[in-house]
Amino acid sequence: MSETKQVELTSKDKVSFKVDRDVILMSGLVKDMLEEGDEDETPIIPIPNVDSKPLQKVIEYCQYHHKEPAQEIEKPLKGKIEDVICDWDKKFLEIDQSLLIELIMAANYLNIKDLLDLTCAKVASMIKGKSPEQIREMFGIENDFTPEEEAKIREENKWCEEA
Amino acid sequence: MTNNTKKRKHESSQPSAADHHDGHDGKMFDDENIESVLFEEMTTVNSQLISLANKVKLVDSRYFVYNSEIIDEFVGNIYEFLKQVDIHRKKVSSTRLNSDNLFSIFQFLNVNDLAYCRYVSKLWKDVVDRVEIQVNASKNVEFLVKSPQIKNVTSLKLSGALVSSFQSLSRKGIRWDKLHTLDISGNNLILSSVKHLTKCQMPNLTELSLRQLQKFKKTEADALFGSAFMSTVKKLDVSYNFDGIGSCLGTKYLKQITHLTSHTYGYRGNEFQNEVLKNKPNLEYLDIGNYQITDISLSNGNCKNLTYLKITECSINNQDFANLLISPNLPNLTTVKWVNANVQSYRNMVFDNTIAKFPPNSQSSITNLKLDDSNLAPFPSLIDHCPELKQLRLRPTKESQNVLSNYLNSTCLSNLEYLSIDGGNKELQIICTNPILSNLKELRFTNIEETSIDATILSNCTNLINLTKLEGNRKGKMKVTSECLQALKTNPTFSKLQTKDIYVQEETLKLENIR
Repeated sequence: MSETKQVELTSKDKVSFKVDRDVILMSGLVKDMLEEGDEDETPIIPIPNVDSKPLQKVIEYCQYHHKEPAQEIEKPLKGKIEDVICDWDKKFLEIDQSLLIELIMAANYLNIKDLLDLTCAKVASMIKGKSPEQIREMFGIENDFTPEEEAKIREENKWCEEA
Repeated sequence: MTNNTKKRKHESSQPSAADHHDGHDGKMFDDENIESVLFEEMTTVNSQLISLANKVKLVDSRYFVYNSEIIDEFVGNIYEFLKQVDIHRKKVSSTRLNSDNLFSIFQFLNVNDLAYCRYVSKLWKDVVDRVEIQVNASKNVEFLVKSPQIKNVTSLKLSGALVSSFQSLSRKGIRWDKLHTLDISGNNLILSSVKHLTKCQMPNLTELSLRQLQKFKKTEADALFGSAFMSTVKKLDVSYNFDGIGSCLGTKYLKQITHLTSHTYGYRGNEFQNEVLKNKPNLEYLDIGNYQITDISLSNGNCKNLTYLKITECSINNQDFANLLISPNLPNLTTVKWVNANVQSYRNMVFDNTIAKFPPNSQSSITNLKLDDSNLAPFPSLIDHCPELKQLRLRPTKESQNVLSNYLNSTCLSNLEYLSIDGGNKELQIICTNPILSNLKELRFTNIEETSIDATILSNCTNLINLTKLEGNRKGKMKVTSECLQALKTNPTFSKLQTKDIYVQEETLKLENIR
């Protein structure tokens, strides 16, 4: 009925989302899939790698940014990510860490470069200025180096560690 | 003892820890079962906790003094539950951050942050060692060459370098495979340093910046430019070095150069040495400054591939410049920027006021022309010989302001899309009436009192049907009178114009209301 063509996305946990075609074309993966198939009716596209919660966020992102393209984020980041992104993105990133990482996976899988950049830059911003121990603590990573290996890294790092 | 009981209690609530781990990738039947059991159990315990909390409020406070053991165990179990949830949540993070994702994340970190990331875990270190890095180094270069990251350095800027620093760069067995940009500007570059530099293994070096080198004279320059080390470099900047550097640039190892930048300090009448252009069949981009250019060999067929030419504060004979613009030997020249040219106020600069002659029907291939702070009076018919122009920027000196009406009335501007001009209502009047300008998309008036723009010119305009952008002195916002804004919004000629950044100053508004 409505003039804008729609697409139906089905998440890993079998939740369906109806989205405007123009909006979800931000996803390279969906774009490729739509080009393959015929265009009548509402195509159903399964997204078997992404749960409904991150998928919902992804759609939210596309709905905003398909009209307002995101500004490129500097590489490397000079300061905090909040200094270089728009207010909408700041609000968008107010989520817990596990959802943030799910979003990285989703952006990667769906091939949405700007969203991948945004979420990766956010994680980078969280890592910035932290000690290795604080980083391990933050992501639940085990230190798998022997003291000898650590000494070697220290030697290799001499050139860029602040005195 | 208590510890053991706790553990057993905790484990008994989950059927088997092993099952759970096995199903960690694709979901398994058992897993979904566990999830629903866990959910139900948590719902039950949740309501029990609420009821417990209410009962605790009712009992006598001494109750807990006599029964501290049960409380301790209770708190211990809750703590264990929270700990497991926390570990599990973090595990989600760490297992999900695979090398692809880490690689994307590390793009946003600088070398100091990456140094810490190398300590985190083996996976993290391996990924860091694949990330391409841009390095600003000074004496620490001796340590840099010992790091495995050296193979991923794409850009290196060196400052305060000693002979030993160049020696480190060239150490045996060290390869700078990904390095494409090297900036050693400002350093001392004595002969022994040059010798070390030319031994460096930098097979992909394409961009080399050698601005303002110290102790770098003809002997050093000949050694450097006469070395095969230079033979991959395509973009070269040799600005602010000793006066005769141009004569050292004609070697066979610079034959592949596509971009060359060479400025000298202030205008001192240094002659532009034509050796610079010798052996440069691939030159596309030339940016020169503060030279006296007498016999420019640009137009003698040496630089057939030149597309971009920028001449700043140079003294050049007017007729030579005119010849250059229309030279059949520069068939690809599309961009010319002429800045501070032929200006009397420049010390020592030869002031040439003879009118340049263009042969009739001669045509230039230029699409982008920028004439900044230059005396344009000797070139009254210049625009008539540039029919391809798409972008034009005109900032004539005060004395040559009159030439603007000539230029704007030219019949050659039918392709013009962008015009930036130092002018006022007189020029606006021509722009808004010359029908040839109908393809103009962007118009920028620099150096105009924006509120003095005559609204009637705008309301009578019928030719600028493709105009999308109108700008004033500053990029972005433009302050005009309400009559002007009205004219821009109501004249159907301007239907494509974006007016959101054109606004009326509040004071003017108030004044009008009072009237």
